[in-house]
Amino acid sequence: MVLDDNAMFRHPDLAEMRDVDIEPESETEARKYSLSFIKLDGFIGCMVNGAGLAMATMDIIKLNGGEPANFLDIGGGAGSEKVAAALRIILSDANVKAVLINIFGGITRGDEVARGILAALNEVKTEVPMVVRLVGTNAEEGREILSQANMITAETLDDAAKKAIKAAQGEGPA
Amino acid sequence: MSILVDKNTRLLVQGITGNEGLFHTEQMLAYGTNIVAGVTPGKGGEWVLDGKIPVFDSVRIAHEATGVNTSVIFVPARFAADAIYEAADAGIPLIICITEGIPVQDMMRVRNYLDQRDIRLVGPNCPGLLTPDEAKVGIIPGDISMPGNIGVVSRSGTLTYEVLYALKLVGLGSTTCVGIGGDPVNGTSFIDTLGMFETDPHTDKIVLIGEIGGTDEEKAAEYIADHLTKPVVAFIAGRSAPPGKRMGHAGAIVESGSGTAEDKIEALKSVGVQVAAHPEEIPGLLA
Repeated sequence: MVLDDNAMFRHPDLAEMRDVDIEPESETEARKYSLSFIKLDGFIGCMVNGAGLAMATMDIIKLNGGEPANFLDIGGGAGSEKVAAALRIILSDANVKAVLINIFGGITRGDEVARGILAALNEVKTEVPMVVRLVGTNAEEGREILSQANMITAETLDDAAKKAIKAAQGEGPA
Repeated sequence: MSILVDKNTRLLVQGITGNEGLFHTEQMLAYGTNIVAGVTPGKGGEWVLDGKIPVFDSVRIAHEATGVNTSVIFVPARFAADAIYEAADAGIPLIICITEGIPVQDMMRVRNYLDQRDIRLVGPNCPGLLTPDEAKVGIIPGDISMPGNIGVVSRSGTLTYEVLYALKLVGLGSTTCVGIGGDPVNGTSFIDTLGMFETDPHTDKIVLIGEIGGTDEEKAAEYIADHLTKPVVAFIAGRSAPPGKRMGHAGAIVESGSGTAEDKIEALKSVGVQVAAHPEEIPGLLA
């Protein structure tokens, strides 16, 4: 039997029966922030806005010889707090050797995403290299904010995936 | 030229006084879309955006007062099905539902209701429509595409923006971009849209962006073989998606081995569609 998550508001009795013990802790944590997150077995953490783009980002990592560590859609118009939570969740996976952040700004703003990334990095000290690609709404402001953090930047999706894989293999910025 | 929306669109926004509705009304208006009215029950008589757009209590009243011919819905998920019925009953021939999260059972009833009437629904859970320089109906950022000869149809949102942007970078524009949405039960399908692009004299080539789940891409492949003369380039997202997991979109799931990206890619390739390995490959395949 499959329950429709979209109809859960009509069935609070069934929502109570959710057994969080059988899912990865990171998925439970993600739900608290309304993040669409699925843990996978790879080594490249992904943070993307939009489900289709998140899938395409995972695909291109795999196409270039990497393995995605997760599916993560931060949704439309995510604020910095949500972005920070997303990054914390990605970094809580010890298998993650690099993080690829791919944001195509529409209603999601590049500067908000950048602030969230900085907030998370202030909280979680990490050596994991990060590749960031920001395009669209306020992307320039976002890149400006991130220039103070030690991050690898990429112009295209393909370039971002290749850089993330290299970084994961410890080869540093291309 | 274009399909579905253009300069002659007279747009109604359902849920115009909500956060999302108002924000995107402003964006659509700034793009030059002809928005003539809004609806929020209980707020009839008010005006929004410095008195630019009148708000009515119901779609019927708005329709009678302003002669709208298209409606875009930004109503929260639990009320969105009712909003679609209301637009249909008022006789609006084209309804675009942006709302994500409508229960599947609600949509099954909506679909059945609309199938018995001459009404087109686009969505739900979609970014809407963009006819560059004419009309933006929904949430697709206006500045990432320009007028051109390519028809774009997609189940996704930001992935579509990515493709429009990649096309624009090499100087390619679109006639219309149609986001049909990521829900398992929706209105307009790939086939419907392909048919419209085929008959649109200004569309020369078509880009189809699909994803795992369902069989809409397979049906599109059959339709392309039988009915299309224009070249189609496709991309299917989700080759790396694990089976049994819903990948963000309610309809994006591989169940009991069906709905895989491989099957869809195979079906499309078998009828002569060029399938890109990743989104940035699409512009090259259109050359």
